[in-house]
Amino acid sequence: MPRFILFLVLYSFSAFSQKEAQLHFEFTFFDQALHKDVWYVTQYGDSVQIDKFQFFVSLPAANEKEITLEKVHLVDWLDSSTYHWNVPLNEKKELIFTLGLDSIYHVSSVMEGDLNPAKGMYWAWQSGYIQLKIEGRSPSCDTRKNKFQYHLGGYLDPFCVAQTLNFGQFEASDVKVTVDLFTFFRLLDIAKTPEIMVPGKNAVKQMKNAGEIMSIPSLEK
Amino acid sequence: MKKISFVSLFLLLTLSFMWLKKKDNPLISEWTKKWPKPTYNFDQNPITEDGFQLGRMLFYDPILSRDSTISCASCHLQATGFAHVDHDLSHGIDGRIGIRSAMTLMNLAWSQSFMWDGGVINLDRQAIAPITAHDEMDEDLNNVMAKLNRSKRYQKAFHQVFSEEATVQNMLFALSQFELSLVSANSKYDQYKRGEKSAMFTQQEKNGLKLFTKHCSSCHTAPLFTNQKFKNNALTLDENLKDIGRMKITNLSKDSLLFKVPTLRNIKFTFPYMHDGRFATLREVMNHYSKGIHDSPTLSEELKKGIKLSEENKTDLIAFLHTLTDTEFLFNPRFLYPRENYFESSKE
Repeated sequence: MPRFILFLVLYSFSAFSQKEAQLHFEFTFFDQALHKDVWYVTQYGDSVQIDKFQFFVSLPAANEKEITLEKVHLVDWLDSSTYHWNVPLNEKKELIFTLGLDSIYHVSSVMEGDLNPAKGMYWAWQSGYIQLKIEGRSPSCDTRKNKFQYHLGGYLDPFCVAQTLNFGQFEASDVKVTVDLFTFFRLLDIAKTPEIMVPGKNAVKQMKNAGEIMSIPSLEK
Repeated sequence: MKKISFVSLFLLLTLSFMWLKKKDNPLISEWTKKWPKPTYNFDQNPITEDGFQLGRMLFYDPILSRDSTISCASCHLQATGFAHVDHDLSHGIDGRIGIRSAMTLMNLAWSQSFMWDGGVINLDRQAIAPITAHDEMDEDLNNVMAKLNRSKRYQKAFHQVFSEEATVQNMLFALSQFELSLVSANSKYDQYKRGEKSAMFTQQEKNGLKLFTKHCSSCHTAPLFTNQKFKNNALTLDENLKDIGRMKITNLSKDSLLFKVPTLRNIKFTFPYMHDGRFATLREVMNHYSKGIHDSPTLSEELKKGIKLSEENKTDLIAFLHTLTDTEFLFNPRFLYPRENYFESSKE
């Protein structure tokens, strides 16, 4: 009998842990895979090369105590070891997570793991992480070394950039997530706006657009 | 039987009381118990003696700067309320000059935001700014960690306090423990308020207190002598610095030229005054508020009409402001440069 109870307990635990999606991020530029030192053409007709691309994905935390390192993940396109993230599904078995970080993460004392400010995603002059960073080059940019830089962040109202992404109900546990940079540049005139480095209207607008860079091919009908 | 349960109940109560006592915050003393509740979250980072000492060691160590020339204490000197005495703008490595005056460091556990523009919300995250700022220590956090973990003294100290090597997180926790301990609550004003016999106010100081309560205390509210808000206090824009203050953080035009209301504790020693150190003396500050009001769209309501002060009023007010001096704080040997650490090591 005790063994049976143990079995039941273990079984119920494993049932719990099944409510988790294992996300695998893949990077594309329209229909091609995204590589370094390769030229891509945006919808605006600008040629671009990507040098850096990092972003946070996270789950909400109601207060500082609820912040765990598992809830936050920094995806770095140049480091394939960061391409995987396990997300618990909610009670309705929905896959919902945040692109970026909610306010509490920026002001809490937790600075370990991916929240370590030494990882290059922290603005020191104010509390707050850069939530999505894209840097690259384009002949269209009349800047030093033709660089464009987008450091999107901001957690104070009305310029919060974090985007909640809801992919609906979910069955599969292994999930490919396509991250498409063609979509990121879709509404962006890089010649006119080669840099966004501070929180504000521009950052919010561009992050809203970035909220659409992720899609799950297996969900598409 | 009844006796036993009574005894055990008594024991239980004593134990829980002791446990509660142990969790008591060392910053809450007879002097500060009537203050508002501290804003700092001590659950994450309770102050211990070893942690305080490690923080003190870091605070005074130039190892935090890129070329190991300046420490936190270079711009925050204890004897001047941890402000940068006689420097209108603070400077960093290679003689680089910043755009603001170093703030005082005291009663930080009660502070709701940090820096002149309130850009930093949590004390634990504050030190990242001066360590990495180009015009200050200009160092990379990873380098700091590498340097600390190469040092035998720090290896030992970090293991003692945090049971692990130095990390960004625990280095910042240690610095916070030192900074949180910088409590100033025993000025002549405090003693007078507590009704201590040794602290009698002169007539001049009493007049000053009255004027202060009427004209200044809505922003510089006791006991912290700041309401922690951001205000445009009628200064003209410095055309060289073009510092828009709080607006840099919020991007809202209503916050243009607003700066944090600073504490006035130990004000006698924290000159020069204002976010850019433009006034060298308290008399200049008085003159500014009485006849130097510069109007602009975000000017603080309280200052729209200026503050009417006679020369005598000014003298009285300054006399009162001097009662906010807490010599015990300014000369507390616990906050001094930790010479003993270095003497010990030279013996090794």
